[in-house]
Amino acid sequence: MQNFKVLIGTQSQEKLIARLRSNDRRELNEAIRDVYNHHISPVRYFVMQNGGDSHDADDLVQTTVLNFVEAVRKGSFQLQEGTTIEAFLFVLAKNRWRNTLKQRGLMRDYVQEMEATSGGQDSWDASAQRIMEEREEQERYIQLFKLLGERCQTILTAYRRDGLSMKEIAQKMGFENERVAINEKYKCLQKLKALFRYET
Amino acid sequence: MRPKSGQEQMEWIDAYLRNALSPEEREAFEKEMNTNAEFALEVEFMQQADSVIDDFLLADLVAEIHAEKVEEWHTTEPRPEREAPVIPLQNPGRTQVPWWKWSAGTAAAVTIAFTTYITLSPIQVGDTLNQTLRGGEARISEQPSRICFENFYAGRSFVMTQQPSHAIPRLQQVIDCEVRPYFKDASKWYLTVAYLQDNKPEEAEHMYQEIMDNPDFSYDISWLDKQKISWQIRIAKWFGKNENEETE
Repeated sequence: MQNFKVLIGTQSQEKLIARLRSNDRRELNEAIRDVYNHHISPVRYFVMQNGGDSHDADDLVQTTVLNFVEAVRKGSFQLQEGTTIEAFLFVLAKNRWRNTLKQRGLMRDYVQEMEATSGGQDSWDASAQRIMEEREEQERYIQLFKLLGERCQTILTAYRRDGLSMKEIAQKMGFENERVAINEKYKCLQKLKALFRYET
Repeated sequence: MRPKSGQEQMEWIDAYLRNALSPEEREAFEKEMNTNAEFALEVEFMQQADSVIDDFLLADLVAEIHAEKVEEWHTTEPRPEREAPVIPLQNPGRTQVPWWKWSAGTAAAVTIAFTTYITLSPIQVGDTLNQTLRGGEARISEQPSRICFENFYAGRSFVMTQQPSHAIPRLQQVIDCEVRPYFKDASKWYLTVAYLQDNKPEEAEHMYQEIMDNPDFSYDISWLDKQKISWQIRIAKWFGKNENEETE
C-alpha cells in the first residue's frame, strides 16, 4: 500500500495555541473560529451518539470550547508531543458529558465502558477535572460581575475589550468629562468589591 | 507616594497593572505593596477584577461565535424531506401500454435508479462499534490505548462530517496501533471512505482490496455498502482519468 501518512500538523497546532493566547481580540476571534471549524465536530457526534440530542451537543460544544480557550490562556493546557487539540477537547467534553449523564441519573454503557477500559483517570482526565472546577469558580465571579448591571459592565469592559481611554469612555457613555468617567468607574469597582466580599 | 483618596489609589493601581508607571514610580509602588498589607489587598482585588472582566469578555466572545456556528450547523444539517405529493396511478383517458413495454421500461428504470442510488448515496459509517462494545460475546477484552481510542473516534467523526484530510492521518495511526483487530478493520473501512471523500480513488481501491482479500476481516460491512464503494471508486477513477486526459 502506498505510504500516505500525513502528519497531524503539530506546527499548525502550536500556532493555533499561540493565537488563542493573543491579546489581539481580532486574532483571538479568528483562532476560536478555527477551533470551531476544524477541531470540534467529534465532540458533537460523540454526544449525539451517546444519549444526547443536538441541543445537548451544542451546549457541550460551547462549554468545551470555553473551558479549552481559558485553559490555554491561563497556561493550564500545554501542547505536548504526540497529543492533539482534538484529543484534549474530547477528554474535556467526555468528562463534562459524564457528569451531565450522572446528574440526569443516566449512565450510558458507552461511558461506563470508556471508564472501565481507560484504566481509571489518567493525567488528562485529572487536568480536565481541574479545568472544569476552575471554570465553575470563575463562573461564580462572572455571575457577580453581571449583577453590576449594563452601565457598569460597559464602563469596566471598555478598556479591556476595545482599548478605550477614560476620555473615550466618557464620550461613549455621554459623561461630561474624563473625571466623571473615572469617578463612575471607581463607584462600579467599589460595588464589585462589595459583591466579592459578600460572596467570600 | 501612595495617593490618599480611594479614587486616586485606584488610578495608581490601574496604571501599575497596565505597566504605565515610570521605573521610579514602579519602585515606590512595589515598596508600598510590600509594606502595607491593606494596600496589597487592594492591588489583589484590582487584579482579580481584571481577571473576571477578561473571563466575562471571553465567555461573551465564545457565545457570539457559538451562536453563529449553531445557526450554520442547523441550516446545513440535513432536514427531513417534504413528503412528495401523491400522484394518482389511474389517469383518466390514458392509453394502454403493452405488458412487454412495461416490463422492459420497469427493468431499465430499476437499473438506472439502483445505479444512481449506489453512485450518489452516502456510505454507512455508522454506530456499529457502540453496539459491538455493548454486546455480550463481542465485548472487548483488550483495549486500545487512550490515544488510539481518541484517534479512532475523532477519525470516524471526521469521516461522518466529510472532513477526510483530518480523518485520514488519525485512522492511519489506529491501523498502526497495538489494538484489537476489530478497531483496525473498522479503521480500514473508514479510511476507504475517507480516501474516496478526499478524491483519492487509487488509495481507496487499494484499501478496499486489502479488506476484500482478508478472510478474517472482522468489521461488518453490508453488501449494499460494498456495492456502493466499489461502484463509487470506479466512477471516481473514470472521472479522474478523463480529467487527466483533458489536461494533457
